[in-house]
Amino acid sequence: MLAPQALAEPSRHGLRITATDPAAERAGVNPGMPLADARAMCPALAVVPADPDGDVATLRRLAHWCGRYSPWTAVDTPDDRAPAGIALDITGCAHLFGGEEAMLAGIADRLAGFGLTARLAAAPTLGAAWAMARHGPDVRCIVPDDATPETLAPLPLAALRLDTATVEAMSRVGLKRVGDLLGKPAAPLAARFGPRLITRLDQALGRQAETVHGLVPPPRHEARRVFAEPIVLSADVERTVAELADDLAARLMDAGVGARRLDLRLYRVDGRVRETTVRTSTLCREAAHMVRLFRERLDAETDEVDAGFGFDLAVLGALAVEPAVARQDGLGTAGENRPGDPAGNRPDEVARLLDRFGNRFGFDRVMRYVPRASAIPERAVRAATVLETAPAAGKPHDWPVHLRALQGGRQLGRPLLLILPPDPVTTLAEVPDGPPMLFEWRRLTHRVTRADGPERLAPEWWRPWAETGSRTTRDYFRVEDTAGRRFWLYREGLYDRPGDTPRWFLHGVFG
Amino acid sequence: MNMKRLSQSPPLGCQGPPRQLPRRPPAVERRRPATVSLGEPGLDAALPEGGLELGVVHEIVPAGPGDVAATIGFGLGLLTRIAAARPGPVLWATTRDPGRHGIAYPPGLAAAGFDPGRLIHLSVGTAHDVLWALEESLATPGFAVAIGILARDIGRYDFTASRRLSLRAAASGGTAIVLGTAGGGAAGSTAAATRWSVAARPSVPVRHPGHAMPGLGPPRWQVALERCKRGRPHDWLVEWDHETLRFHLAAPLADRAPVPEGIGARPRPAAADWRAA
Repeated sequence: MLAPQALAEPSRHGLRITATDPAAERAGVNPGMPLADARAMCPALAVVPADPDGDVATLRRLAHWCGRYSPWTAVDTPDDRAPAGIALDITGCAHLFGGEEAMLAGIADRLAGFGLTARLAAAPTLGAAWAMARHGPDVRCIVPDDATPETLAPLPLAALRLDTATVEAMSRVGLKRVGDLLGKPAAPLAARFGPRLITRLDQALGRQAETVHGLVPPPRHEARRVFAEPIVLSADVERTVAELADDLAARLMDAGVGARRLDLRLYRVDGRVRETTVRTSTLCREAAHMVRLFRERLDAETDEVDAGFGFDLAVLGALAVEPAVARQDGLGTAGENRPGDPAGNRPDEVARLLDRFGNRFGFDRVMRYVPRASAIPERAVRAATVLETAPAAGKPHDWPVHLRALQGGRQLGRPLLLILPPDPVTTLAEVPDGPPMLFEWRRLTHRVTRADGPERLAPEWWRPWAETGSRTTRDYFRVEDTAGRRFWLYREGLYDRPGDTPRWFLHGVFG
Repeated sequence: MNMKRLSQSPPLGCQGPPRQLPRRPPAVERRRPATVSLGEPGLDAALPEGGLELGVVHEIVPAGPGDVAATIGFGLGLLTRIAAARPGPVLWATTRDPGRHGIAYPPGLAAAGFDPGRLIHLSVGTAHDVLWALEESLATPGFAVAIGILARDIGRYDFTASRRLSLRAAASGGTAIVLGTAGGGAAGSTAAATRWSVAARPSVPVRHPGHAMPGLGPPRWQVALERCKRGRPHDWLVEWDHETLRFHLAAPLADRAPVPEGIGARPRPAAADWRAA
């Protein structure tokens, strides 16, 4: 016999019990009771601090796990102290699990396996199921389609998802059960207790529609495998992914679509879900490619897939599905994908490798560069992820034009490598506006023997401050030291402007 | 074909049938590897295949700690030459080191003659990842060339790693350039086909009228071919021309010492004339 246990949390009048186990309940401890009273009634009571955030997180995880029964699952967030729960829209799902009876029994079995006691109810409406699960006479019940009013009638009014104040106000005028409201005219009730009462009653009775707002939108195309015996080994997981990918690829091909995002969910026996999402830059519908992407992700995350006691269900879903006719040319390079042409362009293969890079290292690490109309060096180029739509073939970004706009008639006026943020340097200049004769960068002194400049870049005053950061004029110099090393220096601020204290920075190096 | 046979047959009076001539080793029978010219006959002539070989791994290292930028400049020249000859994007894989050596700046690449639109920039955490990315890109048909810049833990790039890359490159015909910014770290033997060491040299000064300080000429590097399979080490003074996209050997006469001091203090005859007038 376990010691009675209870959870407690601080309230305005000291610690109060928030939840109890059956043993504590038998000893007379009830939720809401002050902890001191509970201790007095049951000295052996073991008290643990309540963790409402943890409860919600656990409930959310469990709701995620319930995704194996229906794609539309949601968490009932606890409002007004009503016990939280999970809602599933099982329309069209029950027959997959042998009917409603068998489905409820299966869910109860699995939850019992996790060490959870659950009250389950299946009903034609969300409201009715909510009421029966919390206030019904049995731990498991199914409300027949045409018997909702009769079933709900004996339940207390709190079963209608009303707040405590409304329930108390109604009980003062003698309305205590749902049955008391049935058949009463709606208008006076609404006038006295608010329109919400009628809404809730109508929702419970199916006179007003209500839907479950799912955690995630369900994928339009998915493939699943159920295992009689849970799988544990990474090799088995990989084989499963390969089978699922074959299956899904066939489905996508039939539907004439391709996916941009694939979502693999592995349901663990102990009620956790391991979710892995991969993204692709081009529409993906080849099984081999899917498998390789998932392998990158599984490799990158851990050496071994943490299977716990094993996975008993694997689902591969295609999210972000698009018609495959809108398929783009991989990288904006000219030429077609001809498999038999060894020297030709292979945009598809390149795009696939970029997908693998992106899923392994993160898509923020795989970049292409796009010119941006700005003279400020840091802003003159934009890094674009490979997920962005590639430029149309034959219309690549015109770098020579951009470069001419940037550096004017000067040659080699931009450095090969940009130092970001610019490094402050100390300089010695002959004349205030001229190039430095000597500068010290990273504790090395460089004597300048050749210099080009200045190239004056005015701040972009028309942009918001947050975008540009600084509002000072820069004079850029291209200098070469005695050893032939080339640097890009700039002076920030002007000597002849009062209030400016010019400072020197090194912004890049030339090859 | 027959003519050739005949001309190669032993001359009259030679003993023994032609069958007993020393058999050509199979290595010679393989087809000539694809090459790309560096645009300068002097450079091409020193390379065993008459040009920079494709389908292999090339290594570039800086000669000294201050020559990293020059090394990248020379590497970019090689990239530009190869990318002009082969279609497809160019992979630029580097270890992340924000602020240390600087990051590739596309307008600067464009200024040097390289098309940044073909560039795919990958920045990863370790040298191991860079080498992995290089290997995968070699295995993927479609890339023109891949360059891997190893800024840290260059010890990862050892003989095994270079051999792996070389085998991949040989199988697919792709080309990889490994650029170690740490210099002498990868001094051990590797399976790369060539190894170049680059040092910056003062450029030819360009005199601007009215300016005390002369301007910069085209970039100039001391390039040493340190190691080359089937070739000999060599040493050149090389310039890169960003207009014609080719290397040039600097004329020996132009290779002078840094501008002598006092070049700014030029005599001003014009002023004297003015005073005299």
